[in-house]
Amino acid sequence: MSRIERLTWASAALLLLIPFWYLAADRATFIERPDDVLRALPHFLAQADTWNNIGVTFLRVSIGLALGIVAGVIAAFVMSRTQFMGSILTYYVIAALRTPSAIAAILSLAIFKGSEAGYILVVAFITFPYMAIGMRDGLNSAERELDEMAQIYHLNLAAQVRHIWAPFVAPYIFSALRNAHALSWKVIVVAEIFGAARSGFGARFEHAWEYMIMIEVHLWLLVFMVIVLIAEYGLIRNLEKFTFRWR
Amino acid sequence: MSTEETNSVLKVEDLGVAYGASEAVAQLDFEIKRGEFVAILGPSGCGKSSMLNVISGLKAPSRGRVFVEEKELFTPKSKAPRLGYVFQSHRLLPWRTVRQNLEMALAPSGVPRSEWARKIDEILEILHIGQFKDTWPLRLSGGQRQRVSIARALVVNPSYILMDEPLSTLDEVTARSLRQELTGICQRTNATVVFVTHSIREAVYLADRILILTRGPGRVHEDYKVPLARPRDYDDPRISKIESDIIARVQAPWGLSNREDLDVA
Repeated sequence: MSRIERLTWASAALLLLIPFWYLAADRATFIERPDDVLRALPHFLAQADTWNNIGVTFLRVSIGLALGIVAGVIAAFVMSRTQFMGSILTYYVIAALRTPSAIAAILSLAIFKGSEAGYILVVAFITFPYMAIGMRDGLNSAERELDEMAQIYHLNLAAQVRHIWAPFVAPYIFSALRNAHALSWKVIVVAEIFGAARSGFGARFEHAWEYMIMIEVHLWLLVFMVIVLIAEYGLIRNLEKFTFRWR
Repeated sequence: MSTEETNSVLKVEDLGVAYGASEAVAQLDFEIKRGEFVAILGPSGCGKSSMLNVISGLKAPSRGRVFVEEKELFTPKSKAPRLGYVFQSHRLLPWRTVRQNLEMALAPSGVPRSEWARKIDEILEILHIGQFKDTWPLRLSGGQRQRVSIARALVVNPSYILMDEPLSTLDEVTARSLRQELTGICQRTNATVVFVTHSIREAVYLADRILILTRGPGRVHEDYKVPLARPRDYDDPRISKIESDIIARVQAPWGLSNREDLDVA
């Protein structure tokens, strides 16, 4: 399927939602009509406050996700290389993987007293097990044959990581990153709502909901979905395409 | 030091490899001189993989000594040998282009960076794959990938090249054409080659000498000098004759009751 065909189908799928939206707006109390939401959109986007709040959440997600990736990569290396440490760390990773996002958010905000670190660390805590498990699977399935080739040609550790290990585990990293990225946006909203944050997407959403400004609730939801889609399709998928251009 | 001594590239003395009580290689002795093409032929289980691991510097022997250009391996002061290795499967990095695969091997080889481009171009031209320099390995055919693998082995200025059944995974037409070129390439680059094969005919066609190993634990049963001048023709009846001669020689030591039992290397 060509790029244009794909875009056409994706647009058609989105347009198909509009009649359902109208239907829902007619039947439900708290759902606004799409044209009302669309009319309010330019003013909403023109406000500096909107972008400040998006920026705050975006920064929390980015730093938290980056920390989660680093922690996950370290945990994966330890788990795949050291049997003893691996067996211990696996329990922590599985426990973190099974912890509900809301519980993690409450705990983190309680420990860090609603500070910026709390929001960032809750994202890191929720995303790191996904990275750790994904990358560990990648490392465990790495081909021994390439390892042997690296020894024959005297590749040092840095060259092995650069030329062999990193590209080999890249598909696993991207798969884990996609899950971790989706989850990080979900958990940050939960954390911002539970933590009664003063700024950020969750805080503004909560404020709009509390005062029943339903148009704003819809606008924040719309913006949230667009940002997540841009991050997924504009950034992660393009990065993936570039990384795997050899396929 | 005599001229003959300085020409020694690989020398193996009383080599033994054991895994616990089980002996894979026993008392292996041979020497390979510069520019020689030596084929290694042995029945399954003769310890070929263990021997290759030792002479490639990957595994220390349980017994005996290995010398590369008269320097002993596996001593506290010894360095790993600079060698090229052509594996049964190409073992190229699919995420690096042909040129990048060669550069990766060149980086630790001590060849100055300023010479890389010239060297890579030269080797790729010899192997007739110059036009694929910036191609990903997955876009190449099996034969072309194996040529790149040979180029990677040659480009590092190796003391010797180990080839472990490099043509066995290729179709017969491709294998035949690469086989035909291989001796020419090695002569042009003055490469010293240790070539492991399961084909007696291939060994006779390619090699100056054939080291015939015994059943495991392997030792050299016979050091056979191929009595044919170069260039050779793969379909030359003399090659068939030598092939039959070798089969007759190995039948008893390999414990074969007939020709069909032949399962080598």
